[in-house]
Amino acid sequence: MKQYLMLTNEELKRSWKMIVSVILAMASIEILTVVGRVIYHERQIKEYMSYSKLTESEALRSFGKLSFGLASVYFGYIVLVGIVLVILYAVQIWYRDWFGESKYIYRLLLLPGSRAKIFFAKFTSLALVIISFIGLQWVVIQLSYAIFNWLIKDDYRTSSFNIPIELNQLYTMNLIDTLILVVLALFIVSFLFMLVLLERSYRKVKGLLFIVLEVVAFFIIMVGGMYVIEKLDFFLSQEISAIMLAIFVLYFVYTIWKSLRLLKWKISV
Amino acid sequence: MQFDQRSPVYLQVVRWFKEQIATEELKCGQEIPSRREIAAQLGINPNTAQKAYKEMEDQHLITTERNVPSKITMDQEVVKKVRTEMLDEAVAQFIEAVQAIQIPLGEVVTKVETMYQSTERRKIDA
Amino acid sequence: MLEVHGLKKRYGRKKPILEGVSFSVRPDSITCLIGLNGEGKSTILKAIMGLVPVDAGTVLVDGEVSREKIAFVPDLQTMPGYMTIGDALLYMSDYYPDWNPKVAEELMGLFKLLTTDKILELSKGNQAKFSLVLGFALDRPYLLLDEPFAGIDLFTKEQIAWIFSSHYMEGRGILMTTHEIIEIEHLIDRVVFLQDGRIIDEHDTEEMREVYGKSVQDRMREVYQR
Repeated sequence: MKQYLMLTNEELKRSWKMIVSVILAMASIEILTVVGRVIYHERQIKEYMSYSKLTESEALRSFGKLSFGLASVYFGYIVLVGIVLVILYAVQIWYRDWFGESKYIYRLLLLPGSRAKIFFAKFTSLALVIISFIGLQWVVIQLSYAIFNWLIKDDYRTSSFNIPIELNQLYTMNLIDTLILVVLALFIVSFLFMLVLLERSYRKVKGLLFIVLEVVAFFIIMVGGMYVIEKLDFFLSQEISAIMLAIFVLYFVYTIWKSLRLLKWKISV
Repeated sequence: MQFDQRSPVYLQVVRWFKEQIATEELKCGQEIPSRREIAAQLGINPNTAQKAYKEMEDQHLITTERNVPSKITMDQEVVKKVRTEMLDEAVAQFIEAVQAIQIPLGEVVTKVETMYQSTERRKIDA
Repeated sequence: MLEVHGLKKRYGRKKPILEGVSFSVRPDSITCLIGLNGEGKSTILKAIMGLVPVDAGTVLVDGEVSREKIAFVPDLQTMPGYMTIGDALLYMSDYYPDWNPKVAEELMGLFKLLTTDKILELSKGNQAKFSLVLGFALDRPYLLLDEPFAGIDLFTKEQIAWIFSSHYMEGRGILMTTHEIIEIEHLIDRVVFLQDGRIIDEHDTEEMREVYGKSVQDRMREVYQR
């Protein structure tokens, strides 16, 4: 347990600069897009006024006011970039130990005790990054909303607080939903870890083959399972969710179990 | 110390000790370094040092009692024997070399005397 | 005794690199695994340590399967890139219950290494020395060294060789790989020759000199040049 915590700390120590700079960059870009949208809107109104020879209120009425949802319309794309970066991090956190400045993987695999702690240290790093990513995105939304209100003239904006539709799914203000989101993200991480470890264990053609097999198996289980359940028309919708949840949990456990086995028996430096 | 890689290292170590006994650099009853020390000093494997000491014990060159450092033997006979043995060995080698170029004994002896004396003199001058 | 039994390993579809390798390393002795480049010497060490899976074979340490009695010094750096020597020593003492800080400190002094230096910025010779510190400061009965003398200048070689004749050898069985033996011949107890994935010859070095009047180098020539 102590070693696991130390290793997690070590992992974060090795990437915190990268993580912090990415988060800062993304937050500032998001805030800048809001500022940009506000300025752009004001200029549009002004141009519209001089072009159509209307008063400000007439122009606002016919052209439209700016809502925060519209001002933060780019957040969805930036979050998407964030997701891609997290996926890359999940892959990089393993490969750097083989192809980085040094062959740290030797040291990791030789540490006394079980190798499971290596997996869980990396997994925890990812979990922490994902959770702080979701949390900080929320903070950035609040912050940019405040900036939006402060920046824009009162009668230029609609008073309601709404966020882009893409992010509505992310921030339903419901704890369970957020939890499901995090678990889903962690599942994806675990799946990626398994694929990376398959490649690091079998390499080249054989590695690729196993990866394809796992991905195909995943789709068959998830999509096929859903299809069969729907076709059977036997379960109530609540039962269907329960069954899907059970399959999902089992598969999640499988990916972790598989990774730990690869790490113990098959991995190669 | 340079080693001949074709003959056993432990025997070379024994020989190294014999030379020092013959020249009395190591005197009768003098303590000698431990096996560990000699290994580090000569840069050899500690097992080889152990084997060399064992060999020297067998040849009665050194004596080892429990918990005391090994010592050069007190037996003058052994020391004398080492001297003769080394002389025999050196002369045998010399004769072999001289016979190979077929020089008669008389000429060799004269040459040995003059050269021996002149090198001695040079040593004293220096 | 460290016993290796029937190691087999094949990478992909190529010819097997190890075709049933068996040998043993006695405690308190130095065994040298000799082979030309690419003969699979490193693979054997990695297999012993469980760093590559093997297709067959077992490794027993004093009769049991226990890697934690073996220390391993590979011929590359294994600490994260940002670390100084001091960081790395701290790391070792954090993770290894059998870490011996006293030995580490002594060897650091002996090799004149500074804790403030970054590991990856050290010279090749100092990197090799530092790797040895990491290996010798673990209180384990067996130590594997992969090419400890490769690419190192003569004086550093002598300094490193010294350790094998010192009291740091006490209670340690050593297995080292090498493809050039000449400067360290007199240090070695036993040589094991590897060729085409098999052990083709084994000797006690002193016996080889005494009985056959041959150096390890002579024997190497006979083995690899026929």
